[in-house]
Amino acid sequence: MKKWDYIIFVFIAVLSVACFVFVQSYTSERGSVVVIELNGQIVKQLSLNEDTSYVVGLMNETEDYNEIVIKDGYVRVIESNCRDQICVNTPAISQVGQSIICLPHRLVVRIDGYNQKIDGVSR
Amino acid sequence: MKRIITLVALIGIMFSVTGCAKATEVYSGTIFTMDTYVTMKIYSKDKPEEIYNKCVEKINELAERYDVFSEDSYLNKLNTTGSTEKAGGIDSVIINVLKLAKTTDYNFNPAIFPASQIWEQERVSEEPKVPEKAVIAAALKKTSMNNVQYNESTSEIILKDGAKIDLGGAVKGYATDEINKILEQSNAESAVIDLGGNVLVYGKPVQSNNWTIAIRAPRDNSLGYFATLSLAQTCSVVTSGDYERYFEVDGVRYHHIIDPTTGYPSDTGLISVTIISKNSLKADVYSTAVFVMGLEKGMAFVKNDNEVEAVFVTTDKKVYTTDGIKDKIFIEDKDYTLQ
Repeated sequence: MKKWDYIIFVFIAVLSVACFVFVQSYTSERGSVVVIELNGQIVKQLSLNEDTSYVVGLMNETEDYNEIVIKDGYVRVIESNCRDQICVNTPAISQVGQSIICLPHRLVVRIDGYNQKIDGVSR
Repeated sequence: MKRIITLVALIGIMFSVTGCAKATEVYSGTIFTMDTYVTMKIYSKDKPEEIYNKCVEKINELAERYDVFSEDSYLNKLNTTGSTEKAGGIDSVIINVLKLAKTTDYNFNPAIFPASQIWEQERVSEEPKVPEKAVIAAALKKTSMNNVQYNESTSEIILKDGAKIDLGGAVKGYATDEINKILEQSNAESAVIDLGGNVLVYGKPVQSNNWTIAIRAPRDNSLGYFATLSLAQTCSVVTSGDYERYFEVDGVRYHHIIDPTTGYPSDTGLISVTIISKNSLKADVYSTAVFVMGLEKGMAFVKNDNEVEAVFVTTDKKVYTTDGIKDKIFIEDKDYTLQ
């Protein structure tokens, strides 16, 4: 082996590791995100890992609102002034691909992330 | 010099291995229409956004035509004038639904609207109560399929004595079939369509061999679903249950699936029925019909049709399935037992 062989070898080794780290950082699991959408537009993104509560709405004349609570990795809508209360009656969600929907308020609360075990929920 | 060439070649191979070919793009979004939500996620090498927009256009067109509450809709014109001729022409979707309803022995009744509306109004009221027997009886008279006359030779439909057709339990299925067609025509690679809880998986999943579709738990649990289905190819999964639209009076649950023979919420010991089929309209109609038939009759009915598979859940959380889906269902909540 000559000098250049070593240089090529070391160069490729370093580049391989760099590529691996780069690809990993883009595809590995990051914390799941709670995405809140009103009328198809994202209005807020929250971490599933941080306990918090967030009130959507109360800004238009109808004073529509939904209170969303994140606790111990679960999300649920605990209160809403919608007419059918389906969002409040939907069990807490915790997995990527699950969602809670409030039709009257055109609200979608869904969990997004890389660790997707389910592609959809039939209900 | 030779070594430089080797180096360049090796780097080239490395990039191709790490995946720098023309990528599949994804486009997703949610719209609110048909009195429900529609979430679509479409994968294609060629402009998934355009495919998405085509699907939205189709859904909106159907939503408008079959909106039972809108004054200008075709369906409302049919219901108020009482004939397809006066409403603006024959309609193949309604004819298909009538034919499917007939195969279910009208356990799916497309004219149930007058009765189901009474329960729905209670459900959304401030203090829901059980409707008076006389009110139900009067409404039930209007739901008789004898008042819906279909002339096979002219394809015309005549509605008599206040009969009204409501496609609430079928139009989502039909729309799903239409979306499936658009995906086929536009060379989409794969897609997940959630039309108000009716799920269509299209093509092959991007990251695994099979699609995993969860079925909502009919009674609250920590997962939100009780089982998953592992599906290899394009398939529509439709579930009917007593858990989404209901109210309770004195501990009794009054849900939205009305038994056409009694006018009261169906009470056959089932709390959830899932139909799996390539034909989504059929899945939609059958899920309601089979729920009303109950386990025994329903199971016999679906076994007769090789285009459908089914999953039943009884009040005591026992899970029954057709043979074709038995090795594709995975119970995720131990409270539920596969029979």
